[in-house]
Amino acid sequence: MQYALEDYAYFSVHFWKAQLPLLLVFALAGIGIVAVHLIRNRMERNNPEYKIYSRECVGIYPNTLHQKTTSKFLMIRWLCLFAGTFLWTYAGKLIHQGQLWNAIAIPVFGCPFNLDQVVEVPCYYLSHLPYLFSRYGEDFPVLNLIYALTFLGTLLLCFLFLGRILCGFLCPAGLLQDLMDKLRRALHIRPIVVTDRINRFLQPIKWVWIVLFLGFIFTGGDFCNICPLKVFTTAQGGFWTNLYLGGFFAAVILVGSFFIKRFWCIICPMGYLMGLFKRFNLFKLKKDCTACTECGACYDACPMRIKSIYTEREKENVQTVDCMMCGECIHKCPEDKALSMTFCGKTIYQSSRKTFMSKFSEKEEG
Amino acid sequence: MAEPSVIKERQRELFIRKSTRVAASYLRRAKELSDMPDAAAPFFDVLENTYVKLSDIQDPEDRKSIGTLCVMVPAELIYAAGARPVRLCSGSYTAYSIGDDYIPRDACPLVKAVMGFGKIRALPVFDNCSLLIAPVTCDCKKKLAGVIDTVKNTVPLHIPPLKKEDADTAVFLKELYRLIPILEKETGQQVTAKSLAEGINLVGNAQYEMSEFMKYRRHAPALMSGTQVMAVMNAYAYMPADLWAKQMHRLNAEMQLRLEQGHFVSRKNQPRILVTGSPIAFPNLKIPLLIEEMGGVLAADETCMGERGLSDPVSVIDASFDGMMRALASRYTKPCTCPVFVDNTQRIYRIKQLIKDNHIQGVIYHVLRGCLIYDYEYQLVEEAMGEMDIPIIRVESDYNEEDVEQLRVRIEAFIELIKLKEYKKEA
Repeated sequence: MQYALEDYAYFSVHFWKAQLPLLLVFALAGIGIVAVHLIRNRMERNNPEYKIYSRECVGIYPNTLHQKTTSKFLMIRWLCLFAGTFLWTYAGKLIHQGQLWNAIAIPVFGCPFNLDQVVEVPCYYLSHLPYLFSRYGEDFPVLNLIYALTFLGTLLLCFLFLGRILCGFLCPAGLLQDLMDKLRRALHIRPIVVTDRINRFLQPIKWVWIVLFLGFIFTGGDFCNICPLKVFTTAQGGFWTNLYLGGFFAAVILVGSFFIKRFWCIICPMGYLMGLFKRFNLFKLKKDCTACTECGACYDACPMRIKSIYTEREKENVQTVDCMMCGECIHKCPEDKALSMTFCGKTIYQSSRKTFMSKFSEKEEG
Repeated sequence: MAEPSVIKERQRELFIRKSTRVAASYLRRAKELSDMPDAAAPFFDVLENTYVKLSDIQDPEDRKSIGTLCVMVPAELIYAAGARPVRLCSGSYTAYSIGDDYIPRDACPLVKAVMGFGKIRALPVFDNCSLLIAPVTCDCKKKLAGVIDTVKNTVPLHIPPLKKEDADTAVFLKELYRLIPILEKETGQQVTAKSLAEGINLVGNAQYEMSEFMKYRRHAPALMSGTQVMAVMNAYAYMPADLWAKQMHRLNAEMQLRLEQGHFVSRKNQPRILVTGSPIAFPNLKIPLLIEEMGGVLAADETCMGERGLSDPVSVIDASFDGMMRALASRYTKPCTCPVFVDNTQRIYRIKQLIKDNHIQGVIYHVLRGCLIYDYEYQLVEEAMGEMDIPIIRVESDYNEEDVEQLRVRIEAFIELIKLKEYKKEA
C-alpha cells in the first residue's frame, strides 16, 4: 500500500479537514435527492391515477397504523450493524494504534484506507490481485506468502460458512444505507418501488461492477478511484481521501439508497462473490412451501427484490445468491412457520401469525 | 293498468313469505345441530335480522352501505371512505327463482340470487346500498356487473386474471386508485393516509380475532359445530367489521373456556371433513348441514364466504399512503385462491395445509350448478388428494331443495367410507 500513515487524534484540525470530502458527497447527494423528488412529482402530475398524491393529507406516514414494527431479531441486526461500523471505522485506534491482525480478512465493504479497522477488509487486495503476494515488498517473500495465505484462508472461511449474512449484519455500507432509508421515512417521502423492470435494468450494472472490481487493475486502472464507498469510513475515521470519480458514485449511491432500500447491495460486486458460496453457509433461509399462501409480502419486503422467495413451491431452501439474511421477509410473513432462518440446522427465527397479528388486537384509542 | 303492479305486489308478498320461511328453517336447523355457544347467538341474530325480519344492518355508527361482491373488494378502502361494505353474494332460493327470469339458464345460482334481490326490492340490506362494487371475476359475475347496473348503481372493478408479474399487481393498484374518487363522491368524505390506516386497523382487528378462532377450529374433537362456524363467517357479510370483531372476541373467550373444560361437540371417531369449492352463502347451508346431520364434522372450509375472505392479513411494508395501497393491491389478488386466476396451484397447497392443520380425513368438493371455474379445478384437487390418500367426492347442487335427498345419500355414503377406512387403519 502506497499511502502514509496519518495518525491524528479525533477532532483535531486534520480530522475535520478529512470530513470535507464527506460533506461534499452529502451535499451532492442532497441536491440529487431533491432533484429526484421533484422530477418524480412532475412526472406524476400528468398521471391521472396519482392525482391523489397532490393532496397534502396523504403525503404522511400515519403513525396510527397498527403494524408490527420491531422484532428482537431486527434489533439484534441493528446492533450488529452499528458494532460493525464501529469495528471497521474506529476500533483500531481506540484499542490499538493502527490495524489489529491485518492478515485476517473479513469481507464487508469498509475501506482499507481507514487504518483503524479492527481486521482487514479484503476489497483492496481483491481489486488489486497482483499485489496480494507482495504485501511487505520484494525482500520478505516468506512474510508475503504467510500474509497472502492467511488472507485467502480467512476470506475463504468467511465466504464458505458465513456468506452474505455479513452484508446484512456487519457491513458499514449496509448501515449507511439503512440509515438513509430511516431518514426518508422521517422526511415522509415515498420510496421508489423496485419493480421487475427496474431490477432487470440494475442487474447488468452489477455485472459491470464485478468486472471492474476484479479486472480494472489489469488494465492499469485502480478500482479505489471509482469506488463509491471509499469516502465514508475513511473520512469518518479522520483519514484524508481523494474522491476522483468515486465521489460522484458515492453521491449516486446515497441518492439511490435514500429511495431504494439497500440500493448498493443490489449491485455490490463483493456481495455477489460471497453469495456464490451460499451452498456451504451455516445460516440458511428455509421455506415451508405448503404453508405459504403466495401473498408476496416477503417479495415486497425484500430489499434485494428476490422474487423466487414467494414463487418457490418445490425446494425447501430458498436462499439465493442475492439473499443477505436481513430477516425482513420473515418479519413481514403472516403465515405460521412459512419462512424460517436456521443456523447449523437449528431454527433461530421464524415467521408467526400470532406475532404478526398481535398489533391488530390492540383496541383503537379515542 | 293497475293489474301488473297488483301482480308484482302479490309476487313480492309471496317472495317475502317464502324466503323468510326458508331462511328461518335453515337458521333453526343450524342452531339445533349441537349445543351452540352462547356467544354465537349474536351472529345468528344478524342473519335473522337480515333474512327473516328483513331489517337493515344494525350499526351504531351512521355509515353508508356500499355493496360488494366476491372477496377482492378491499373493505379497508371502503371503511377509509367512511362507509361500510356489505357483501351481497347470497344463497337465497327464492331470489334465485326470480333471478332465473333475467339471467340465462346455465348461469350460476348465486348470480341469479343477486339479480333476484336487485329486481324484487325486498331485502333492505340490499336496497340500502347506494353503490355496488362488482369485481370482474368469473364470467357470470362479469356479465352480472353489466346487467345489474339497470337496477343498482354499479362500479365494475377489474381483476387481473394473472397475478405473478409486478405489472399485474400494478394494474389492480391503478383500479384501486380509480376507486377512491368514486367512493369519496358517494360518502362525501376524503380518503386520507390516516383514515386508510384506521381502515386497515379495523379489518385487521377482525382478522386477528379470526386467526385466533381458527386455532380453536383446528382442535379435534371439535369445540363448535362447523355449520354454525359457516353461519358466523356468513354473518361477517352483514355486520360492520368492528362489531363482528367484538362478538368474535366473546366467542373466542367461550371457545377457550370450552377447551379448558373439555366441552366438545363431537366424538373422537367422527370423520373430520373439509368443504371446498363454490361459495356456501347463507341461507344455502345445505351441504354443511347434511355433513353434520349425517355424522361428520365440518372441520374446515376453503370457500370464499368462509375462511378465505378473512384469513390473509394486509402486510404493509412501507407505511406511506402509496405503500398501504400497494399492500392492499397485493393482499386482494396474490394470496387469493379463487379459481378465476389462470394459475391457481396455490389453492391445492392451501387445501393441503388445511388438511394438515385441521386433521382432515375427507374432502367434499362443492360445485354449484354452472360454476365452471371450480369444476375445472376438481381434476387437479382430486389428483393431489389421491397422492395424499385423502378421499374426495364432488357434489353438485343448485339453489333449491329438490336435490337434498340425493346429496344426503352421497354424503352419508362418503362419511361411512371414511369411517370404514379409519376402522381398517386401526385394525
